[in-house]
Amino acid sequence: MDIDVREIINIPKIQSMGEALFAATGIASAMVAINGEMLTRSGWRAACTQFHRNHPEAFQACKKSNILVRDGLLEGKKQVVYTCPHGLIGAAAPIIIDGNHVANIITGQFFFHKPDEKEWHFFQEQTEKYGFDKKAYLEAISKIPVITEDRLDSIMDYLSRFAEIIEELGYANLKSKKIEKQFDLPRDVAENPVLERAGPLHAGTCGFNESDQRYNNLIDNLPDILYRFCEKKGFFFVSNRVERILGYRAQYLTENPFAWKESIHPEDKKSVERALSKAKKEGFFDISYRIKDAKGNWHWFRDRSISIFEKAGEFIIEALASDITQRVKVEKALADSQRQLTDIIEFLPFPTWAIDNESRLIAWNRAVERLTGVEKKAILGKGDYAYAVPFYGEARPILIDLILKRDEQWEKKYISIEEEEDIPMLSVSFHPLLGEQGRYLAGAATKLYDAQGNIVGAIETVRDITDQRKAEEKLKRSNQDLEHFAYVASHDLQEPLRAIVGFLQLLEKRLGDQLDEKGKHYINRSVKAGHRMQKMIQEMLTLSRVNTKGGTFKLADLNIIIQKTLDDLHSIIDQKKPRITCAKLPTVNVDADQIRSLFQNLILNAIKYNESDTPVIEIGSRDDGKYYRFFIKDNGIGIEPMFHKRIFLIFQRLHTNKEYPGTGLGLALCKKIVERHAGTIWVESRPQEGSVFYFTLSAKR
Amino acid sequence: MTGINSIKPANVLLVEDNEDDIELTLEALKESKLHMKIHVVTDGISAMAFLRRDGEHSDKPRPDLIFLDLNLPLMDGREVLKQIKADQNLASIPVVVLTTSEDEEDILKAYELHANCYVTKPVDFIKFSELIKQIEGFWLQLVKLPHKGL
Repeated sequence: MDIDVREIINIPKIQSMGEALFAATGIASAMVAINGEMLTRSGWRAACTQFHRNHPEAFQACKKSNILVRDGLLEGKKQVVYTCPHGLIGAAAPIIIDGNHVANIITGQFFFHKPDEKEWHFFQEQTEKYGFDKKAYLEAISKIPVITEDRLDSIMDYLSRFAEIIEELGYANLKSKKIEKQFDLPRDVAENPVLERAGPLHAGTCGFNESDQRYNNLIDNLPDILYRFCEKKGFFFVSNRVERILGYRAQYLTENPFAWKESIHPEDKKSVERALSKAKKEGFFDISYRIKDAKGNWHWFRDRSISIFEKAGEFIIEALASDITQRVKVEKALADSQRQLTDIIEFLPFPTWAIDNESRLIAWNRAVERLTGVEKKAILGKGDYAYAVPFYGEARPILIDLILKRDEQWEKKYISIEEEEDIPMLSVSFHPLLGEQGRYLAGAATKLYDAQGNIVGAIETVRDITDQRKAEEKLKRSNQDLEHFAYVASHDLQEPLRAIVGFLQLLEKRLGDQLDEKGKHYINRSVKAGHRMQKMIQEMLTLSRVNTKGGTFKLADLNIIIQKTLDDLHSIIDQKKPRITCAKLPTVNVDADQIRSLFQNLILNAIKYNESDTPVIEIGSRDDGKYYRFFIKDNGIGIEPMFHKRIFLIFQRLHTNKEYPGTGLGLALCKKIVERHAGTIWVESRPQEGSVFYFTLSAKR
Repeated sequence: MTGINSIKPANVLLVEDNEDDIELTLEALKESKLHMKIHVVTDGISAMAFLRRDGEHSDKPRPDLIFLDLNLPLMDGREVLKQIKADQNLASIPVVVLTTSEDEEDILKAYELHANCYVTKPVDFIKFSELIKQIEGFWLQLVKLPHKGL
């Protein structure tokens, strides 16, 4: 908040205390408001009052020195000791009220030791430089007291304690003022009539019509600072708004007509000078620069001329200065975050680019340069889908645009495209223009938001999946080939088999009476072997069909499937009378016929490989989140752990056909079915301790 | 086959390319007591030529029953079936599809093309000859069919 130190500190009282201090100790002191205004002054040295501050040029140096003091104190020091530009030593302590540095208590001037020869030489130079009366000046210098540094410490101690008391009093006053203000109307501008104070100094030359109070009121309430400036004389009018923005009273600036110019950032001074000299020719200027306020903070100003005219050989500039610090900060933050974004994008190993919400390209990294052969500098900033050309040979919406604005017509052109809420949009596309034989790209795009949640653009990244896709296609083809081979082979194998078995049977039938028992036995054995072979061929066919001729996946209630499976197995169930318990099973997305076949094989095995009087079979499932895990537990003969993997291979059997009939297809089929459902199957078992078969099914609901 | 039987022999056309299967089918048919004249062609094009009495087949009779294998050289059994069923003069001849395939797709496809019956050849000859007997009994004795195409 802005504090007017005059309102909360009894200045005349402080003045009289300062005078009393000087009378008692000979210590000169002053209180200077942060905007440079001298509030109290007592016992100041003749060297200062009669010479330095009495000479316009020397006084400017004093003023500058005051700013140095201000800057030093603002660094949070309790007090500073400094040498003024005229070689005298001073000290200052800050007055900080409610966190605001409002003024400084200054003491001076003195020496730490008698001036030596070199220093006397400096003072003699000063007399020549400023044209002082040599004798009077050197006498004034010789009257400046010499104090030891110890003494300075105690003086400083006194000063900072004094400053503290002022701070405390000021704070108490400030509080009570605040309470008053709650019941008060806004302060009338007329109470602070800078124009009336500043005006008469230049009345009739350049001032505004000071009698028009309403006009003044209007000017002071402008959000911008209105000022008039003579090239040679500097500021001679500035609106009161300046105090709210820079902390300097308007009066201070008219009294120090070049303070404004001096407060401009050193790096900006040249461009301001240039703009001014250009303005003299062109009749206007519109510039931005940094300027330091009374507290030492930098502000960004936009300064625009209203009129520039010449009067009596002087350029007079009338201009409006606006504080654009906030806007510059926001713009800088924006530029910073955009810069950060492009840095991150640049760093990414995958081809990546970004657009703003007007679909202009704002980032294009090195990886995408390499992929497309289009350089960043050639394409950055372009809109109208120019960035699509390297990918498609035409300007058209691509994924990065589609995420901002859906368009079915273009989405259809992708090999695949998917979008779910809150995750990037994903795509797969083919680009014949890229690479030697075209490239497959997997793209991901997402919207970009600002802190307020507004969409500010989008980003897309692609990954070259050509090799992966080719490998997948090759694998798919070879799997298909293999399945086709199994299908054809088993088909063709059946023909000669039928001939072998058929003719053997014909042999027995037509010529059986010419054969002895042994001959008939051999025929019998051959026919049986043929039958078994035919069964195996059929099962190979079944296995090859799990993937090629599988049905569609639909939500199925496994409780119903289990019921149907048990119906299918009724003859063996009637025969061996097992006790089957089945917990409630979930509803899952499956190929119902295959799952029925899976359960049928597992339950059949549990009954078949079981020597108990009453086979006990438990069926159940567990929800593991991503998967459902099913189990079929029996009290059967169990399996040696070394065979736990082998039993899932086709035609691998642990028993002879005589012990337990079968071809060794069942579990291989189970494995293939579970794998088609993206699950796994395994067994936990020991001989004589029963077996538990587990399998998983995806729980994607 | 004795010639004593006064009943006009039924004409059966066997379309089959595998020699073993031809002989086994003939043997199975021999077991039947029906009076039959069996004609054999070994590819799809010959089958259609036989049925349409083209060229050397000009004197061939119109069969009462066709046994058709699906996997044939030159013209596939499915194409033969399609052409028979699309031909007004031939569409009414019962066609028994005889193959090794148990593939559901093959079966469905055959029925879609209006096969009258689909039979998977069993490996076992005894069962096969039983099957042939049943087929003959059904199509040549039990079912009364129009003698000529519509």
